[in-house]
Amino acid sequence: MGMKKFHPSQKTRNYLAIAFLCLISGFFLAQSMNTHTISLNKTTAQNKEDLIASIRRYQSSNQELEQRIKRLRQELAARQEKMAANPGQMGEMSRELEEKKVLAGLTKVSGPGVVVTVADIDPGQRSLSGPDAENFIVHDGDLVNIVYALRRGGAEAIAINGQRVVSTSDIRCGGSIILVNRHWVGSPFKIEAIGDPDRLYAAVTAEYPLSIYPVLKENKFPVSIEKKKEIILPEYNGSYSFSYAKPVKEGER
Amino acid sequence: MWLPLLGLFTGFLIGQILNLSFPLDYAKYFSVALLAALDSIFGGIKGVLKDTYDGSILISSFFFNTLLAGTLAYLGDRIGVDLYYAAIFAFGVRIFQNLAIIRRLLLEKYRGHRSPKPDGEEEESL
Repeated sequence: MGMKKFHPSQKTRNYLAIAFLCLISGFFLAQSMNTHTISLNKTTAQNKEDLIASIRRYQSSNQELEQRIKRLRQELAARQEKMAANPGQMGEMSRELEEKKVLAGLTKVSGPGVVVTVADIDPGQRSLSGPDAENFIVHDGDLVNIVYALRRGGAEAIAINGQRVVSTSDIRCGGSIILVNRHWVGSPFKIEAIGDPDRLYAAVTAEYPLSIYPVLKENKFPVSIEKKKEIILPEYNGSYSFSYAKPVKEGER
Repeated sequence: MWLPLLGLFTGFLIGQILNLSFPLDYAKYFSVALLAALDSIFGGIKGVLKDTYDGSILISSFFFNTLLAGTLAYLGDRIGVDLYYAAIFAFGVRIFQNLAIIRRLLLEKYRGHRSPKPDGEEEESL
């Protein structure tokens, strides 16, 4: 019994050993938690950076490819010009090809027309959050509608924010931006069209089922339409590739 | 009785103050090792409460299991077998079992009658 006065009881000693182990565990627990927090932060930050980096990479490679298409087309045009200078069948064919290229939107074109501008409603003048936000932005459908109004008005060439709209062009929603020819375009949207300015103007400002322009105007969207004497539209810098549509010869089918 | 908690708290504080962290690649193995350590500690507490405590077994299991768990998890990753999960499962299940037994023993102690019940024996044998 006298022993107990100077030494802790067996049970306490046991607990002391456990307490020592707990001390070590607690130490590692704290470190483990630190590590976990660090790794969590790092992975999210890294993911974001990786995504941004890959977007940048694809953007620049896209640009490079477009530059290449442009270069190759210029080369091709130079050769065709040389051929067109020759008299005879080849010259005829080259001239025909040149015409077709203009029709396909593969050349820069200029002429009279209209410029339609539509933009999102200024964030200061609307409630940003909630389902309402949808009602304050220009949607891909609106652009499609205006493009078709312009086509109805006899537009011969159309471009949205410098992206030439051709027969295979897509105009679609890409979240907060709109994709035209798989390129980002954002508000404000400048839709330029070459054609008879009066007809184009009438087609765009036509009443609702025909054109969405008056609806946007009525809903206080910053929209405008202007007739121009001279508009220059860039060439379509994407590529055409048909894998399904094949030409059918006269008399067949 | 409060010594282990005090130890855990002190260790945690020291760890927080030093603010160290493991190399990220090995964080996973340290977590498993930590689980093994906790398992040993709960096993030890159970042993004290049941009077079957053995100091050398506890200390050896603490260090050996901890090292083994971390190493096996690491090895498992190298050979493409997720031993990591096996370790989590094994230690996790045992920790919960031991916790249940500790709770039962403490409760019985608190009530003052330590008559082992048949169903209590059953749980311990699990």
